[in-house]
Amino acid sequence: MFIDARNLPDQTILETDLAIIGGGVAGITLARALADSGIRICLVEAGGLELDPEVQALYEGENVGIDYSTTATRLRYFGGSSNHWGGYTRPLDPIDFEQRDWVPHSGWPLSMEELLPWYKPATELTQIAPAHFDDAPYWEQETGATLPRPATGRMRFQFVHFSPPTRFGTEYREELDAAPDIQVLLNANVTRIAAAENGRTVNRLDIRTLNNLTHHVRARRYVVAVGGLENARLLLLSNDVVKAGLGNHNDQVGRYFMEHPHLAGFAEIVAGDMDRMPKIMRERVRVQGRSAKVAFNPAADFLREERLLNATFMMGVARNYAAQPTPDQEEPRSTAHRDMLLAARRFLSDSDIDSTTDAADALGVWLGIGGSSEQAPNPDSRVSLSDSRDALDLPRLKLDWRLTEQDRVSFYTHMRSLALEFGALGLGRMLETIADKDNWPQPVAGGSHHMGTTRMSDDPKHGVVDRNCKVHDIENLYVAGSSTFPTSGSANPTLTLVALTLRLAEHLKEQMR
Amino acid sequence: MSAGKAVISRRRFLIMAAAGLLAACSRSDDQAATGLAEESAAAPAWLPKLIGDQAAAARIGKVYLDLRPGYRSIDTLTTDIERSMVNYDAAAVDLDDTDRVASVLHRLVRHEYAVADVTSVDGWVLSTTEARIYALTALAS
Repeated sequence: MFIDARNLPDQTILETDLAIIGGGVAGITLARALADSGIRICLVEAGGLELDPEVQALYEGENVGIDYSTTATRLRYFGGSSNHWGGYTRPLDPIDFEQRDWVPHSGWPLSMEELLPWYKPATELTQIAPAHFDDAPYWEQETGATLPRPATGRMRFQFVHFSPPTRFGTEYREELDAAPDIQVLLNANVTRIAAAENGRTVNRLDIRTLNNLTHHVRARRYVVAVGGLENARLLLLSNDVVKAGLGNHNDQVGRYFMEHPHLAGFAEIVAGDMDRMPKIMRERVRVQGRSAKVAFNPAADFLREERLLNATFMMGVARNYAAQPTPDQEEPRSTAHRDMLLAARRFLSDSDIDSTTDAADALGVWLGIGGSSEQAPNPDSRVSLSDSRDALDLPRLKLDWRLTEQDRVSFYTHMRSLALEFGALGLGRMLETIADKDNWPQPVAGGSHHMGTTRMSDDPKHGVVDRNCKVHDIENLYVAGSSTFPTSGSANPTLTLVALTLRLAEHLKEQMR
Repeated sequence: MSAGKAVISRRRFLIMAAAGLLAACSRSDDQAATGLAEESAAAPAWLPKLIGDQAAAARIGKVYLDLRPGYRSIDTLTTDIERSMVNYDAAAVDLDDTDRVASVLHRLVRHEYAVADVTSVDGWVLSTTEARIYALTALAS
C-alpha cells in the first residue's frame, strides 16, 4: 500500500516491525526480499512517484573538495537513483575484498565467496540473468566470434552486462503496492533517527513533509538506505543524544567517501582489422535478450606485482575511417590517426608479411576509451554537515571529495597497459592525449557512485557497520547500500549493493523471527 | 642488400658479435670482419616489407628523429634494429633472408609491447623497434 505522508493527519504515529528509510535500489530490494516473511514493513521515501524540483533541491549541498554535484548525481523520488541508472552491471573482483598491504584501509570483513550466493539473485533483480561475467567461451559461442587472448599478463577481459536498466520504482511498484505487509510512505522526509537516552537503541523516526506536517514511525528495527551521501548525513544530523551523530563514536561516519573517477578523452586507439576485434569488444552485443560488452580490467596478479588499484576500461567506435576515406578537416587528429593506421598496417595484420593489403583496407577505426578506476579509501575524503540549512531546516551536506597520488599513478599505469595490450595483440595503437600526466585532468568526473561513508568493519574503530551491516553499538539500526563498501573496486556498485542488501534481508529474517 | 660471401659489413659484425655468432663464421668471413667493409647508407632490403605506407611512416619517423638529433643515421638505426632482432631471435641472423627478417621483426614488435619496451612518439605509444623502423623510413625517403 502506498500512502502520501502529506495527506496523513499531523503527528501520525505509524507502528511497524521494520522501518526502511529510503525507497531506492537498496530500500526496494530489502522490502521485496522480506515481503513474505511476516515482518511488517514501512518503507519511508522522501520523494513521490515522480521527480519534484522542490524535493530534489533538498539534496543541494556544499562542495569543498573536487568539484562534484550533490544533486545531479542522485535522485530523490521513489526508485531513487535507479531512475537515472545507466545499467552497467558487474560484480566486484575477488581482489577487491582482500586486505592489500599497498592499499591503506583496504579489506572487507567478508570475502567474495560469502557474497557470491547473493550475486545470482541480484542479477535477477537487475534483469541480467543468467549472467556470464567471466565466461569468454560462452560469449564466443553465442556470438560466433573468437576473442583474442590477452598477451601482456597485465589485462584480462570481463563482460559487463547491461540492465534494461531496471527502474526499481517502476518495475517493482505494483508488487510493493500489493504486498499486504508493506506500507510505502511517500513524501516523508526523515529528519532524525531518534535514539534512546543510552544511545544504543533507536526509538523512532521523526518525519517532516514539505507541507509542514510531522509524523513518526516506530519499529523494532530500522534500516538506513538513502544512498551513499545521505546515509552519512542522516546519521550525523541525528545528534541529539550522541553529539557526534549516531554510530559516530569513533569519528568514522562520513569518512572514506569514494567515487569511481571516470576519465574520457585521455587517449585514443586506432585499430585496423575489425575481423580480429569482435563486435563485443567495441559495442554492446545482444544475446538471448541480454546485452554485454567486453571490459578491459587489470589482471589480479599484475595488481599485486605492481601494487596498483583496480580499473575498468571500455571502448567504442568514435569514427570509422574505412567508411570515410578522405581526411576529416573538422577533426584535427584524423590525419594523425590515418598516418598511424597506414604506417602500421603490416604490424596490425594477422599475418607476418601481408603485402596484399592496400591502403584503403588499412583504414580502420578510431576507438574512444572510457575508464573508471578504484580510488583508495581515504579518511580525509568525506561527508560532513554544512553550516547552511535546507528547506526542512536541516544542515546541508558538505562534501570534500579527494583523490590521491596513488589513485592517479594507478590509473595512468593501467592506461599504458591498455596501449601495450593492443600493441601486443597487433590490434591497434594508442595515442595518449592527456596533457599533463603529473596531475589529474580537470575536471575529474565521478560515476554517480557514492561509496564508503558508513564503511563495514569488524572493528568499531575502523568502521560504522559490522559484517551484517548493523551499526556498531546500536542494537536495532542497520545501513544498506554502497556506503557500507570498505573499498570500491572498479565495478559499478549496483549489483554488489543489491547482493549485500539481499544478504542483509536474510540476516534480518533470522533476527526478527 | 647483399653483403657478399667474403665480405662482412661493420654493422653485421656488430650484430653477429651481439648474437655470439662470430665463432660460427667461416675463416674468410673472419678475415673480412677484421678489415670491416664500408658502411652502407642504403636502407635494408627488409624495410619495405614492414612498412604499410612509406609517406605515413616517414612522417611519424621524422617526429621520432626530431627528438633524437644524434640518431640520424641509417646505419646506426639499422644496426640497432637488427641487434634487437638477433637478441630476440638469434636464428634470424641471416639478414639476406628478407622475408624471414620481416617476420621476426613483426614478432619482435609485438613482443616489445608485451614487455613494455616502448617509446612515445608525438603521443603514440610505439614499440622501440617499430619507432626505429619508421625513423629509418624517414631517413630512407
